[in-house]
Amino acid sequence: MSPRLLSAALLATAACASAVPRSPAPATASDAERATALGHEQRAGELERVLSALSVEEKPPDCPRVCELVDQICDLSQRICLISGRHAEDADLGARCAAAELRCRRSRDRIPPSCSCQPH
Amino acid sequence: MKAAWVWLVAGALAGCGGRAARWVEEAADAHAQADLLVRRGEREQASRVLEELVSRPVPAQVAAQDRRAVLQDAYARLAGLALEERRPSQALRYADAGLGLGETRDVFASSLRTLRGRAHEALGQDAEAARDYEAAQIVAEALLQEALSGGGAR
Repeated sequence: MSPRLLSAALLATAACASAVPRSPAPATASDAERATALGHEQRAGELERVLSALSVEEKPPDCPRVCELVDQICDLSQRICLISGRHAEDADLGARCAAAELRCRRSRDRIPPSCSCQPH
Repeated sequence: MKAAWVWLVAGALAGCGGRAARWVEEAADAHAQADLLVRRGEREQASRVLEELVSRPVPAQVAAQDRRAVLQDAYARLAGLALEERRPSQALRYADAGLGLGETRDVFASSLRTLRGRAHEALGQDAEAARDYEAAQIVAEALLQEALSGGGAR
């Protein structure tokens, strides 16, 4: 989930919470304070969970790993298509080659802008 | 990837002591010894060291996934060495043995599938090779997805 979606979800949750009919007012002032404190605590917990989700999401990608995997995927695509090229009459191999090339292109397209993978 | 898993598992078991930790340490030693022999150009001797590792009984205390990872890592290396030695039939046997330990969407499956594909290709079995390369590619794509979403399981 994107940070924006998460924030929206949090806002929506808050809105839902305020739309729910409130329980009867506490009998004493100290009960009211306790209820308020509990509410604050719950909201703080909610925010903490959202923040930790955001920090996980915003972890920078492991670029060497990403580049290595994209290289592997495209190397395998070349291998499959070389085989297919040796058997031009084989439609099954032709389809495998097309699918493999698609996976290679898709993987290259997914390289985050922050990673500068060198083509091999 | 060579022996990387072995060191990870060794690190995890270091504090535990006992037979499981000793087995993993021995695996790491075997890889180190094989590295040295490969550097000296003694690939056959390196293969013997790794063969001895995969033939050794695995202590019951070793977790199933650690056992699979360490052995598949060794089988992948053996298959790679056999391919370098132009022994594709032998490479195929090693890759099959590794894959026979179980296949999940991880780096070991991708590596063993690629090596088996290369062995098939060297033996002129192109259709089988293409199938293995495709399977390896699909696993690698799943691993890429994990790496991009912050999982990064190797």
